[in-house]
Amino acid sequence: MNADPALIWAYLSQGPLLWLTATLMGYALGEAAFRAAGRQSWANPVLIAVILLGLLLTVTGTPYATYFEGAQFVHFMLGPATVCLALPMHDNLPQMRAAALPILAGLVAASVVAVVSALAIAQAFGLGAEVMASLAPKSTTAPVAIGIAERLGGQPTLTAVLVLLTGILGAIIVTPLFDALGFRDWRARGLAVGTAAHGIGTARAFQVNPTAGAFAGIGMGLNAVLTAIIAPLALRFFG
Amino acid sequence: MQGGDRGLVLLVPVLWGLNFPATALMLDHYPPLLAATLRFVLLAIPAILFVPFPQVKLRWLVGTALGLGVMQFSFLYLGMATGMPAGLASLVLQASVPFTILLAAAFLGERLTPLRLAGIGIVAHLPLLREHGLALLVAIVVSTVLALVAGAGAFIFVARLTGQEER
Repeated sequence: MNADPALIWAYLSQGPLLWLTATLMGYALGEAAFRAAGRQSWANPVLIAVILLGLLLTVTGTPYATYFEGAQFVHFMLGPATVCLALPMHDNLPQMRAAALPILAGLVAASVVAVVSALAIAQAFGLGAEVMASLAPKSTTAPVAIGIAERLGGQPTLTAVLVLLTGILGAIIVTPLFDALGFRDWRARGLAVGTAAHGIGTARAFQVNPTAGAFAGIGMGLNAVLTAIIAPLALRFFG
Repeated sequence: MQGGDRGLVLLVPVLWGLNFPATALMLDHYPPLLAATLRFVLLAIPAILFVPFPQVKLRWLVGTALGLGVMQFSFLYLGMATGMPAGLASLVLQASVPFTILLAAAFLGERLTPLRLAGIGIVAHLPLLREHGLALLVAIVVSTVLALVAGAGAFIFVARLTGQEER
């Protein structure tokens, strides 16, 4: 039997199972750190998992494509998980019907401001057309954002990074920001974070309050459609 | 402060920020020094009518006006007319903060606390924002905060209008 660690590594690093396990362990560690920090928003489990996996990939010199062969199983679950969001929405259906107008207003405001303010700042700093196209859909859920960015002539990889950053940032600041502003309506807080910071923001909303979570889910879902309309229009205005 | 009041406070930096793109637009039509003069003439009319005359020695008033109104804004407008982007101009203008702290320590005997020194250190690195990575980070941070506030604010506003406040 050959117990040379280099050979074991060579064998393991070829299979997708290693990177699937690493992804799940990264999240488990992130979740544990989040609990240990008393569920504070700055200890976002996704952020911790991303940092750990990024370090691991850098240290081992693993290309992203190799990693993704394993991680794609988790990536696939993104679809079913999004569909599962329908469940809490269904439970809150009467409350949502009653608040249809406020939902519409909050959705449009957050969506337009997210796209236009990001593009305005990007233009002020003189960023190029490709970067701006990658930035425009950053508040929507990753698969949709990448689709929109590709259509507009952006870089899908850059969009994926910006989407992730937006989600983590939104999830971290939402609670302290709205506490400081004195916005106490869970429906408003949820809808805003779902619209501005997609799935990661929605996950944070569910950690804080079930009503906020349900409204975040609907904000995220509707914003995927709305941004597909707003982003090209705004980009034409800034281009 | 109520939620609405805090929204108004947030409006102040937004309006101040808009002043830079507005300046860039103005410079498309007027020469820089005329543009700066027009800006202050327009401001002077309501100021003379509605703001009481400040109770300070005349030389301090004239000195402030020359320093702030003439020197600072002339150079800002000349710089932007020469081709400085509006976003960068707004950042460079914030360089007055660390200089004020240092000058106040030198001439007025104010104390330099570790917190203030740390603040100067951060501001001193802002020119790095020209590099795209940091510019993108700023775009994401600012736009996410604005989108959150706009979304929740619009929801609460319309909920009040339609009588759908949280029970």
